Amino acid sequence: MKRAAWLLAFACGTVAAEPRVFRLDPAHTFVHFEVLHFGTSTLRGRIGPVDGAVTLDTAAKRGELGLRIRTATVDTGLRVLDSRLREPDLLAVEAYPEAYFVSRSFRFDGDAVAEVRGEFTLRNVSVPLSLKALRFACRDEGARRRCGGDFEGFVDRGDFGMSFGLPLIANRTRLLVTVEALSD
Amino acid sequence: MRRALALLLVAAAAQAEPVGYALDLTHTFVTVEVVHGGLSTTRLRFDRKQGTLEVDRAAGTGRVEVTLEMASVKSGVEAFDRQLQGPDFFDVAAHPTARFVGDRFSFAGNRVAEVAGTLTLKGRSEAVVLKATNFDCYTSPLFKREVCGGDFTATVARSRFGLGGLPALAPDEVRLLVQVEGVRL
Repeated sequence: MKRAAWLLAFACGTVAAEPRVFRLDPAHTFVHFEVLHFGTSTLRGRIGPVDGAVTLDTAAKRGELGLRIRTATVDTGLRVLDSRLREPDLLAVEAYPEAYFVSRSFRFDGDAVAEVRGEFTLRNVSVPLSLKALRFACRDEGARRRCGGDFEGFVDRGDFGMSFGLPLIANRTRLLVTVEALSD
Repeated sequence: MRRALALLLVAAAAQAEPVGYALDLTHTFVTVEVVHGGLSTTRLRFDRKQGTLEVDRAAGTGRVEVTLEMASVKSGVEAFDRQLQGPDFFDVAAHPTARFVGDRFSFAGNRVAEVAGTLTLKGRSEAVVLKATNFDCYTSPLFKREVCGGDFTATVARSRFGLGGLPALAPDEVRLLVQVEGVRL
């Protein structure tokens, strides 16, 4: 009995220690941005769905992640604004159709991902970006595992050369990445 | 002196008049945040809306009315939008619009801090209090007029509006994020 329990614990431990590969669920993976307009109200937009994959090793507290963000999918609820955002001085979707976020530095709080630090590339400009988890959880879905959460980070849009409307439309941009992924 | 005082009173009386604002629909959006299965947040946005806004800052009163076209719900996933429009959720065929009437304004100094009112959704009316997280007024270089606006939030139990479906997939409490700007008429 003791031996069986020990073997079981060992087996489970081994399985859990293996890195698992997850694919992003396009129905639940978007990048939302928020910018303060004239210091008064928050302008919001959504980009996505986002493609990508995540590798999680909760036992070893390691992870890797790559996101491909097609910037032409920008959606603010206003077509004229979406078209304006796609122009060369803003998202420049023709010259740079994709933005990227790549990370190999995950911080865990217990079994939950607490922070993902990596490099964000937009308009061919790369900056370090830390995304902190506002929430994160996993659950089983049949034989697969679904993990997801909300992650928050901040960038200055001017760093990417997007200076239109500064400073009346704020430089500081809040990114809210809502993400879910399913194990293979 | 008396005349000056009288003038001052007249000026105060003039200031106390309610001021009407036309909602700037390009900076007025209602977003609903729903946590999906305890994992990530789904944001729903309603793209077609109309409304009116009146504020009397001297008297500390105001009135706002916003009507949302429920068929204009956008989650970023079309299949989900169709599900939301259907009879199990918003049932837009039977209830094409939702309406918020805010008629009890609270001010902190010159700024709107809270708007209490009634939200009518799917045939049910319930009290909702919107709390300001931002509020300010500025002179718009585009309109050459005063613009006032802000961000407001409220937490709402969706079951109170007959929208309690799929409790395992989403909690009863959802969060409203309201961006609003109005141009002085």
